[in-house]
Amino acid sequence: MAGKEATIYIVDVGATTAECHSGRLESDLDFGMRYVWDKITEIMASERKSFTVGIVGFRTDETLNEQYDQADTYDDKESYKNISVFKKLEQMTMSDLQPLQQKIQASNNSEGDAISAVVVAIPLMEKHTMLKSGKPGKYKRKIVLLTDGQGNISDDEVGPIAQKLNELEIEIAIIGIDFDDDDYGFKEEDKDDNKRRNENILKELADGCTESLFATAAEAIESLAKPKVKATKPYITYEGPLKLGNDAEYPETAMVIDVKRYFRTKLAKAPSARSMAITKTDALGSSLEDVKTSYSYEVNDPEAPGGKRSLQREELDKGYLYGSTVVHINESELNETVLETTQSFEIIGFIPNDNYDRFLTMGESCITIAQPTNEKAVMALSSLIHALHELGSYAVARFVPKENKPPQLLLLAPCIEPDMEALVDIPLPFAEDVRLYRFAPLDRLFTTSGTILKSHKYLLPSEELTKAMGDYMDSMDLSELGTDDDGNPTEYMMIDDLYNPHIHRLNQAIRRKAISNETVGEPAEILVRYREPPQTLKDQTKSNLATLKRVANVQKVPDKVVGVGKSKRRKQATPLSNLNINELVAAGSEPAKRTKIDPANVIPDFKYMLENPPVTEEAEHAFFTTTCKQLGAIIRSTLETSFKLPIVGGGPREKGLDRASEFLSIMRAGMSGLETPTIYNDYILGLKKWLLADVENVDGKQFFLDYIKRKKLGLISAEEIDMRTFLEVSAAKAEDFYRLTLELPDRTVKAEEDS
Amino acid sequence: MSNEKPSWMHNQDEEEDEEETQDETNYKQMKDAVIFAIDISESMLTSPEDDPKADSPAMAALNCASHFMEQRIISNPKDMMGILLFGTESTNLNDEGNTSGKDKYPHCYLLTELDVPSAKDVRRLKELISDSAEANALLVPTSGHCRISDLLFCANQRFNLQAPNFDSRRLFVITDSDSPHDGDKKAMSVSTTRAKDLYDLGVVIELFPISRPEETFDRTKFYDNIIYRDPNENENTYGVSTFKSSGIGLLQDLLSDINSKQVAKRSLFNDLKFEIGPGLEISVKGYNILQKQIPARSHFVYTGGEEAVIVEGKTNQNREISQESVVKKDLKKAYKFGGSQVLFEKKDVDKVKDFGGPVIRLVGFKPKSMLPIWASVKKSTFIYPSEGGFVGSIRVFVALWKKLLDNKKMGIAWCIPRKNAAPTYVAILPSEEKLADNGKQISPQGLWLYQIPFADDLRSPPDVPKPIRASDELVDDMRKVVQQLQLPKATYDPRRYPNPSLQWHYTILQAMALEQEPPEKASDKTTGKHKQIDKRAGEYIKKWGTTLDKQARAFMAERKSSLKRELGVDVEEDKPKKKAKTAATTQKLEDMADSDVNKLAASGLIGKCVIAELKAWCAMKGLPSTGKKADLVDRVERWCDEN
Repeated sequence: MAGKEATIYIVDVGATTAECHSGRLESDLDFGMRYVWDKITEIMASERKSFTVGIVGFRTDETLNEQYDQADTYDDKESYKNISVFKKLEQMTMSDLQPLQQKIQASNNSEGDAISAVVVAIPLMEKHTMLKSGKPGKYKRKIVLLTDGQGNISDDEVGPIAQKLNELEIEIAIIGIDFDDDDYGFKEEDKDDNKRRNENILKELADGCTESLFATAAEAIESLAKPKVKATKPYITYEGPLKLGNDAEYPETAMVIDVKRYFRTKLAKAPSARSMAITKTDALGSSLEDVKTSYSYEVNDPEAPGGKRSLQREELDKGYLYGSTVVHINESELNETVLETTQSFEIIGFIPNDNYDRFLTMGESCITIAQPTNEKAVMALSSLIHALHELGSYAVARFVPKENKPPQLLLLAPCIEPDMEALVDIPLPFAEDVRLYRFAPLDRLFTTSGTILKSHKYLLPSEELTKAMGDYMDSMDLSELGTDDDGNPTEYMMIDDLYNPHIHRLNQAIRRKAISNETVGEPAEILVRYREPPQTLKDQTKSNLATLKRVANVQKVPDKVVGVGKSKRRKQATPLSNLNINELVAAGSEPAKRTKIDPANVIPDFKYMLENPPVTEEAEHAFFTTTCKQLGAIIRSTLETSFKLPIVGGGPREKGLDRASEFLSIMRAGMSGLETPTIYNDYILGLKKWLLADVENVDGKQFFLDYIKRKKLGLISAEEIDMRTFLEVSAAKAEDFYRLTLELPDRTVKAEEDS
Repeated sequence: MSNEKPSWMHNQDEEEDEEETQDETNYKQMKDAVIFAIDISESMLTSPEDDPKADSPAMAALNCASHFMEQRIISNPKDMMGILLFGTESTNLNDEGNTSGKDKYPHCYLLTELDVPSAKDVRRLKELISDSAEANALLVPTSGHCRISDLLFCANQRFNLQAPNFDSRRLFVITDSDSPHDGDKKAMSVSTTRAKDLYDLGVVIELFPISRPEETFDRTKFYDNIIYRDPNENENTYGVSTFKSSGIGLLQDLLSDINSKQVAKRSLFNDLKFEIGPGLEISVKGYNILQKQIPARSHFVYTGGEEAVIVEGKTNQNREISQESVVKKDLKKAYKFGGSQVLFEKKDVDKVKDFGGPVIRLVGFKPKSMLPIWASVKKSTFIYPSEGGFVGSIRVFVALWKKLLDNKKMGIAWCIPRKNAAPTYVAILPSEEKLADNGKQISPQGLWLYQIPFADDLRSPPDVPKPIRASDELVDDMRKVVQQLQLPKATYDPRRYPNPSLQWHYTILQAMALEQEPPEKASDKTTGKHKQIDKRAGEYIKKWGTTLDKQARAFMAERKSSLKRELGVDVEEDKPKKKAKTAATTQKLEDMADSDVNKLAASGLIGKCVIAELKAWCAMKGLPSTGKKADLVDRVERWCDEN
């Protein structure tokens, strides 16, 4: 929510904080600072100028604070010694981070009073949050004190200080490293008396404040894992009448209620990255530079060099495509295709709840309330809400958010809560938004003759399977698996507990990278805790699941079934009648067996020939080689012809190139499927040479980049077809192939295969 | 204009919404080409006996093709379509150099070349349908014999030449002849080989068989020999539908079947692992049944040449300072943070997105009622079983579907539909089949992945004063209104509501492209039927209004008097005056009641408001909030005049 926030962190850097306790491997300071850094970076991530951060250290080696400078007496001076203001309240930026990280290190000193540090912080806060008029500004003020509880704390002024904090509306949070906390369940066994005394003084301070928190560091750090959901101000999407009927035409018999409509859900977006360019500044480092996008425009023009002519933005008009026809529209006519509408929100009818399928919903929801200051409207809307609720009905409404915006259809549902009565709405699809894909029904089968089958051994579940599924479903119930605040069973996986794993992981990764350049780690447990069934369910459902598995008898299809080994070659496709086409041909009826690829029927002929090779293995390989040679020649001639044609978008030239690339992909798929990748690899190496040999050949280079590289039609690697032992084209080598040079890769592959 | 996004630049988020290309077919163009092959024979040209005025089957087919073409321009603007007549006397498919005296594709006539349809194609087809003289001249059946093999090879050539590398090519055959070769074994065998060629070319044949009055179309006689289906899809066995040529139902039936094939049935994901429990996995396919249709973006066009052409745009990325263009390897991703940039290497970007491989993993089940109606953020995805990854998937899927329906439950699952897709939680909802009046499926049986909002997606509703609950009497009055105004069939059927702005956009474009007068008024089926509302519920609404008036007045009177009791009379009398004063001086325009704004306008004081206030007010009222102050003031005053 908008507003200003000022937070001062008071950090204990006494010599004792360098020690490690409670079995931890990091120093107490580093441990405690995890909380502080995380909070600070969270504030930074908000990118808000009005969120300011100050940092005060105590038990520092040096002394740097106004109270010390201005103190007159020795005693006064003493009490403000070893307290340093590291950073005044300001917006925190990246450039502040590193110097602070250097300053916040355990000192060699153990003197310095925590309570005095609070006294130092108070005027900083007071001054910063004061308006020019001298009145306190509207701020959220907070002081966070992190300490290990060692050192000397004077308890003289605790009461007045707490009072001052209350007066200034400052919230205080005291985070103690290894402080005892019964609620959280932490107790430091070997606690010395001084620390116990200090804990009590600080507790007293916290208790004296209206807004306070007193926690052990471990708990505070644990709480960091709980993602913070960004709060947003309520956003009004519409304000005006909700109507039923037309009050202009039928003033007596139309319903008009003044309402306001707000967002109810809105998909949260992950922060988006910017493209930046790396610039080498010197041998040591590089910096980032902004990238500007510019646009250039061109049209095909056979007379222009390169077949393209570039244009300036000023020379261009606007238009739309109607099919392939360009419809040019003058600037003044641009609005003609926009349907004229006026702002409106009107109910067009009602439907019973049960007749609405939830999955038809098109997106985010909104909530509509009556104009709060208009009691009559509140009462009127209430009657509609209750009528809908009692009847179990929804309303369907037409909504135009603004003049000349496209109308939307909404489903309005009643929402009755103790302190709110409202209509929730969700967008409905139009006729064009629903595609009519047809699917065979699930609960019955049709035979080819049209008979309906209600049971089938493989495709329909047996009664046993259906029952096992039902039992499993019952044992996997989540509706009472959770626990509410009072310890009563409640729904598991409530929406409030579902955090967007991607957004929060990314946010955390950005913060971690910013402060310590850490690489991205595994996602926090809380973000992925619902990615599988809870352990208790897994345990209690074991036998049900075992039964279900047994009766379901699902078999995994082996990973590579298509095209591995000649024995498993593609099963001959047959039409619905199961007629064997190839036998028909072999039997000598028309047409004759094909031995040559007809340039007019390339793909079918090529596939036919691969499916009908000679019987012996040697002959087969030779046959595949010559077949590919034929196809290869066709590809080359297709390319040669196309290159000569002028560039016209979607014209014969482009179609020719598309055809050539389709032929290539068919050859590639065929050869990798038949485990004869070398035939293709040899061909594509030759083709690359042919395309790139002539430096002047722009067309060849373009084809290589736009088709062979982009569509990944290069070398078939051993990894790709799982033939490690036979083929010496590695994935890396296959990748190298896409470079625009001819040296790579060499032909040793072929040589070895031959020998 | 300068900061306007050019049309070819796609928004990242929108991109994610689009159908993703599948890894295994990424060398194909995700485009669809359809050829309508319409049989022209005596029987196809004869109107049904019982209704001689109705279209003949051939004309119905052409009508369908015309409808399909116009639809296609709206819904799939990049896809191609062609119309091929077969069995005609004449042919227009001879190459120029053909001197053999023999026709290349005898009795085949290419009415519309396979291509993205142009406005001219649309007009030509419409004219043919409306102008019987032209139709009679063209649609002359041959006295000889048309071989299906010629038709198939002709289609083969059109696909090969016009739609190279398309991932979807379909041939719609509309005929009433179930044995075109009449027992000629040789001709039949040539046709079956030509059909196999089409199969090898990746062409799917869809048959729309029309039964003649006396006999039912029998697919097994010939057509089952030329139609291929993927054995992994159990959808080939979706009943056998034939159309009766009698009666006027033919066009409607044909239209609904052909329309259901409008969009090439492309899956969103294939053989995705669906983990029902640890160690029990099946495979499913996903489909985008719901897809918001919006008008295609405008383009830049160049009108300096002979005809207007689309301009190709290019984006160039330049360094801000030096203006040099950036080499790809120097481009990095960086996030804004604390007034500076945090650089992410490729491996970081990949890692942060990596939550494991694609899967739908069931976490458990909840009653359907635990999904609140407002918990909605995105359209749902339809899933259907496939045996491609696991044999036995279909039966397990069906068992799950059945039990979800029976028990009124939903599955709750963790879902990563594609590699590197951000994980979401989904509710798995079962759907029952819905049939249209003619028995055709309009909504399939299957499961839907319904995205559950995250806590991050929730917006808190505004703070409002405690609600004033309407009295039972008022609710009763309103209930009668609700009961009177049910939508037809008490359901929301999307098919009844075409998107008015989308249709208008294309109606105008079509008129412009064909240089015709655009219609005066848009057809808009989404507006309330005011006359009907008045007729059916007018009396009830009136009664409700009277009750409301009475009770609202009573409520306010009661509150006033209780306020009096609390505050004492004299305080109360003082207060409103003060309030009125402050209202006039400090209240913001957007907080004022309309009547106050009217007063302000009447006294010519609107101009005293600051621009921000005026803008906010205009935005609130749905008026344009741009322009100079004078425009804004003018707009407000005009609004006041009208209201």
